[in-house]
Amino acid sequence: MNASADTARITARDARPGAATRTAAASCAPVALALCACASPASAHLVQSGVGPFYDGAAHLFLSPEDLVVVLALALLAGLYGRDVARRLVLTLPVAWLAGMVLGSRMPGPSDAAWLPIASLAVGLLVAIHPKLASILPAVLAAAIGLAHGFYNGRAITETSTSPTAGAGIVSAVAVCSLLIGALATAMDRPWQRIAIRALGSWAAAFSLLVLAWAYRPTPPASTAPAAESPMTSGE
Amino acid sequence: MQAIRPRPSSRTLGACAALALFASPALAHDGEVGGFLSGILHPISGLDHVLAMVAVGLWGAQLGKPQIWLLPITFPLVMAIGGAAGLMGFPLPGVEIGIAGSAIALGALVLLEAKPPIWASMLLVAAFAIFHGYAHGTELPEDQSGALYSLGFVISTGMLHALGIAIGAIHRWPKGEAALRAAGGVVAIGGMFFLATSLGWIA
Repeated sequence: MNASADTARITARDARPGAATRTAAASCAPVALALCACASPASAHLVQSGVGPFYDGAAHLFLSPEDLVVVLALALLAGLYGRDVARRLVLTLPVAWLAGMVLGSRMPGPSDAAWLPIASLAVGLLVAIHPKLASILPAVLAAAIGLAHGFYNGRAITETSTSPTAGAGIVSAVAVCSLLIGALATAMDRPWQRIAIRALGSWAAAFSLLVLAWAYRPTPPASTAPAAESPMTSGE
Repeated sequence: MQAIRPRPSSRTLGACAALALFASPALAHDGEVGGFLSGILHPISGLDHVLAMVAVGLWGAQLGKPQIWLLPITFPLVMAIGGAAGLMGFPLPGVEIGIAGSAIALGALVLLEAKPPIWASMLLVAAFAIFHGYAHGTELPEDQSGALYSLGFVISTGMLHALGIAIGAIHRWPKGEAALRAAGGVVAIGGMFFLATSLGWIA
């Protein structure tokens, strides 16, 4: 009797919206924290992780705030609009990023990536304002943004003769980040948690606006312009 | 048969969090790490900034919904516009006076427990945010990463708002309500000191 009651309670608990996602996200948290604890010191942007090009690429995402912020903002946006939207993002963003990298490594295109934070500015504002959106729009945004960011990553990989395995590392990091943050944002369904997500969106937008201003400020020194800071983004 | 689902205990999470404290530092690039740290420290290093930003959180907590979240969302967005103006070299006179004035005004609003319309409170906070952002923008060090500096100071600003909101949570208790108003008074007095300093009345 008790066992059946427990089972019923567990079933009811798991039937709650977001319960499975919350459990999955909570289960991943200790692993992620433990990985943080074991992380080796990263000594440069991309090629110095010491554990091979795949991890160089994965580390690149976390050392490139322009790339990282747009991934986080997209994941928060998708999480705000529910589980289905978040699931679409997990598929769309890494695939688009990969497609962009392939295109960037094979096609000529603009080399100036300083405009890219416009995307994270727009996504951050959408998170902060949280307007009614068509459920497909976050996925469309993710596809466009993934293509653009991936394009510049692909160009940089080709121009710097970096191993294509680094590209796989970048895409994997994008996938893991969008999965974990999207799941977390989906699970955060209490009113104050939704507000916290929207506040984070405003931070992303504020950051992006400042990066844009930094990139287009009068007479920027060449050595410190953002385009030069992030070789995988800028194509340097 | 009852299925056992793995659920991390609070002890596990605590142990992992403690492990994270021992994480090796990322030695990415001196300029970049420096940029992030400079950004984090910039709002904290100036007490005038701290007073005003904490006061935004205090006032939001005192006003309740929806300003409790509207104000801390408005502030960083408009602060970034001010920062962009500073970076682009647009002139803005009286920045230090504006920053000190923001602490005086916000402190006084908390002290008086003022409850203006939502749009007015947002407009007021936005106007003050311009001065704070402008100061950050003009003081951005040229030899450090602009992106990481920006990231650092946006995070730091948000944390100061969160601190203000957390302190402002005392508002729900009668004695806390009085204490919160007193805190507003302290902020206003601090703002007056910084105003006197920026006007040269105090060396």
